[in-house]
Parts: sequence; structure tokens; C-alpha cells
Amino acid sequence: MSSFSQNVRSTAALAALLSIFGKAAMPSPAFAKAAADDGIPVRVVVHDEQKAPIPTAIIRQPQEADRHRVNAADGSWEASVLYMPDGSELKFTAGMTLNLEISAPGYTTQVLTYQVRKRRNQIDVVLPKITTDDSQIEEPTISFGRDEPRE
Amino acid sequence: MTRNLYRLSVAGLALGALAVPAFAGGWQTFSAAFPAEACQDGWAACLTAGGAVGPGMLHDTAGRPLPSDTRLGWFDLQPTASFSPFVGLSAYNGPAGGTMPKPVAPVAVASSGQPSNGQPSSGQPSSGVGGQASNGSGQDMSVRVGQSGGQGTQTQMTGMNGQPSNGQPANGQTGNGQPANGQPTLTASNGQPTSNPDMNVQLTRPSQPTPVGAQTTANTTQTPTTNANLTTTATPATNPAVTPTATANTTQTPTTNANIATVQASGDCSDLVSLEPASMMGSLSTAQTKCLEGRLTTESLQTTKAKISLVLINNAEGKGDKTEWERLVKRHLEDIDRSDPDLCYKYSLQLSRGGAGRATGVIRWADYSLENKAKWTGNTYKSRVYALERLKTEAANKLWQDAEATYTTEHTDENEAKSTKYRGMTKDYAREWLDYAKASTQDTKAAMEYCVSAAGTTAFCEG
Repeated sequence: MSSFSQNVRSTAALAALLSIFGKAAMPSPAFAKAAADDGIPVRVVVHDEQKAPIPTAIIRQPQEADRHRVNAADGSWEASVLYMPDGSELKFTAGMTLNLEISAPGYTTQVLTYQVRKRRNQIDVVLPKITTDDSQIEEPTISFGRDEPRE
Repeated sequence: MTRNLYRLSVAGLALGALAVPAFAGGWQTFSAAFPAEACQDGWAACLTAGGAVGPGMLHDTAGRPLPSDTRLGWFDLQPTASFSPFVGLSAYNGPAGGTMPKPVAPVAVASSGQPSNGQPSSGQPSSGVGGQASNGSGQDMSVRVGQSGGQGTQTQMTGMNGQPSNGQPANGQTGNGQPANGQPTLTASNGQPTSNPDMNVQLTRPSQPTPVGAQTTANTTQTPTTNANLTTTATPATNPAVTPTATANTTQTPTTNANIATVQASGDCSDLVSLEPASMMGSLSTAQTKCLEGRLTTESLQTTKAKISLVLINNAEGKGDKTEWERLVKRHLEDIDRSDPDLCYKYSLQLSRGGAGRATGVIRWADYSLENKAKWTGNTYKSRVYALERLKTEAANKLWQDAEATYTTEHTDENEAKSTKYRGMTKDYAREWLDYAKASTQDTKAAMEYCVSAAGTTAFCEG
């Protein structure tokens, strides 16, 4: 008798444990819905041609009003959703095409078109410096002051 | 009847012969053909790019005679040697008042009958000092100062030690006895010039502007001592036929240089024009610089101040002293005159080579330069305005970069406002640059890059 009751207790405890761990291991519909609402995170790292992060870089979606600064330490920016001027949200979902303009003062702006994957969405962007040729600027000769006769 | 007819004919011929002198003019009638002042600058003789010009007749391309002051041929309308009016006045180094220097004791030329040390490159024997003695004394000199191979144009100066040459020109004879094809031969004998007592023969190099004080002038009123030291280096520079020779006057040139040296040493700065060559070379003496600085502080006329300041600026540039140049230009623009777009442009360009700390100055002086851009024309206008728009954009971009860098380390509202302000400036200037580049069909690549970088979107710049 006592052994029977012990077996019953063990089975009940096991069932309880299973129910507890089962809930934790298998996502509920509500939990899955929340994850889908957040969008898939996309990470952009901006650096120059020497692979140094550009702390002043800005990332912007063409339809968006805001400009997003990168992390000044490592030149990275990460988001899974953007907010449009009309109040709507642009969530990153797998398979969607994402357009981003990456710029920094003194660097040539790059326009990025990227298809979002389910995971591991990290993009490295290299911004080349704007170069201008000083030799094209001619230097005038300064003339001496001379009186010009009136016509 | 026949006898009467014969008498009438003889009488008619006699009357006609008597009438000829009445219709014939004197030598003065031909004064127009032999002008006293044949040269453009009023001198009686000069060397031009087309050869020597003197009081004698010129010849056109077909060999027809023309008065020497004619600028165009009468028959063929071709320009003569004295066509161009863009020549400076001949330098006159003689004594003031036109008085003739007294001849000093004649000095015998040791190299009589020997070629001079200057050899004409035309292959002819030199007619330099002691070339040919027209009076057999061996102390004369014939200096050929110009040649025109095609026409055989030669100008000859013959100095005779105290012995006038009978008042007659050498009649087409050069010093070495070769005919000069009827071209003018200027003969001057000690203090007795043939045609004009103040006649100078100016030697100019057509392709090179001769700075003040550096002109080599053979003055026919020179003393025998001077003439004895006169040597000829008949070396054509570019065109052997027309280029006048550079006569090295071993007496006069050192005198002129000595004058400059004297002026430099004395620190005289009254004549600004005479200081210009030295200023361009950056070789103004300290005394002269101090004198000019002194004049600058005491001068009341703003225009004169500007002239003095420009001499100092050019001197600093000639020396390559950029720091001093910047100081002088800044003073000129701040205190004297900022209406010269070239100077504003150049100063802006110089400041643009510095960092962000000078970027505000770049924009400021570029704006002043653009205010007077109407003084430029054509391609100069296009290239300068383009360059100024570019300088402004790059300067604003430097300011923006600097402000952004500050903001990333110090997230304050003030820094953010600065960054936003300079970004807006960059965007506006870049857009102006881009618009001008498009309008003037110049390169738009860099302007577009700056514009898109500042705007953050291509839509603003492409619109």
C-alpha cells in the first residue's frame, strides 16, 4: 500500500514537473505573436576604408523622418522596426527588401538595399571619403595698384 | 616758218626748264617721309619686334618705300615694324633738362680692328668695339644693335672720338663695311648726334617684359669713355631675323643696377612703381619695407594706402613668406580695401588649406569675392565662381564634421544645435555649388556628394 501511494506521488510529481517544463519549453501562441510583432533585428556597422568605425555616421530610411546615429564606439546601429511620419510602423520581416541611406560628414553617402533574412542580419557598410582635387583651383596673381585713366 | 617754229620750241623749253624749280619742293617737303619721331613712343629710333625703326624710309613687303612712322603699308595694308602701339616708353637715362654731357678725354680702344668679345650669331663678323675705323684712326666703334635678316635692316651707331662724322650718315654701310640695304644707320659722334640730340636707341626683347631699371639702352649721347666700353652681344633670342640683340652696356647697366642698389640701401620708397620689380622678386630691403610701413600709417589717401599695401603683399609673396603674406592680406582686406575679388579669392583659398578653425574665414572672404564677381569675365568668371562655391561648401563641411565630432563625445543641446546648423550650411552651399555647376556645365560629382551627404537623401539634391 505504501509502495502504491509512493508510486502515485512520484507520478503526480513527474506530471507536475512535465507540465511546468513543457510550458516553458513550448511557446504559447501569445508568446509567438509578441515575437513576430517586434520584427527581425537588423544590424548595420559603418566604417571607413581603413576598417575604422565612423562615429558620426547617420542611417536613415528614405521614407522616414528621423535620422539614426550609429553607436559612436563601434559604428553600429540595430533596429527591428522603424516608425514612419504617418504613425505607421515598418517592421523588418523575413524576405522584405530594406532601403537605407548611410551617410557621414565628409564621406560619400551609400544607399543600401538589403533583403532581410530570418536571422543573422548584420551588414558591414564602407563609406569612402569625399576627395577633391586642389590642383584644379587656379591661383590668381595679385596685381599692383595702378590708377586707371578715365575714359 | 620752220625757223620761227624752232625758235618757239626753244623758248618753250627754256621757260619749262625755268619753271621746274618753281614746282620742285625743298627738302622740307619730304619731312613727312622722314619723320623725326618715327617710333610709337616718340623716339626717333627704336628696336621693335619687326626690326629697327629709324628716321629713314621703311619698305613694305614688295620693297616699296614708306615713311618710317607708318603703322600699315599703304599698298598692302600689312603691319610695319612699328605697328604695335603696346610698347612702353623708352627709358631716358640722360641728364635732366636735355643737356648734353661734356665729352671727357677720349680713350683709345685697344682692340682696334679686332672683333669684339660679343659675336653676332648671324655669322657675320662682329662690328663691335673697334670693328672698322671710318676715319682710319682705329678709335671708332660701330655697334650693331639690331638686325632684320629678311630686309637687311640694321641700325648702326658709330661713335667717333671727338671727330664728327661730317654730319653724314653712314649711307648703308655697316661698321664692317657691309651694306645695310638702305636701312637706317644712326650715326652719332661725340655729343653731336646726327638727327636728334636726345635720340636713344632702345633695345627691347619682344618676348620678355623688361623691368624698370633693367632696360639696356644705348644712348647716342654717351661719352667716348662710355662708348669705349660698349660691347655687343648680337645673339638673337627667338627669331634671328627680327629679334633685337641684347646689347650689354658694361657701363650703363651696372650704373642702373647701382641705382637700384642705392635706392634699396637708402630705403627710399617714394616711387612705388619703381619698387614693383623688386617687390615681385621679394627683394625689397628691410629699410624699404619699413619705409613703406611708415608711409602706410601716415598716408591719408586710401587709394595710395592700397598701392603701398599691395607692394608689401607682393614682396611677401615673392619671398615665399606665407605667414607674413596672410598678415598683410588680412590687414589689407580688413582695413584698406576688400573690393578686389582676386585678393579675396586668393585669401580664401589660402585659408581653406587650414583646418576647421579657419573655415569661417574661408566662407566670409569667399562671399566678399563673390560680391565682386562681376569684375571677372568668360572662363575666368566660370572657374572662379565654381571654385568659390566649392571652397564655401568644403569649409562648411569641415565645420559640420567638427561639430559632429564634438557632439558624439558631448551630447549637449548646444553641440547638437551647432551640428544641425553647420549641416544645414553644408547642404545649402552644396546645393548652390551643384546648381552653378549644372548651369555652367561643369563637373557636378563632388557637389552632388557633399549635397547628398549633408541632406542625407538624394531626393533633395536631384530635385
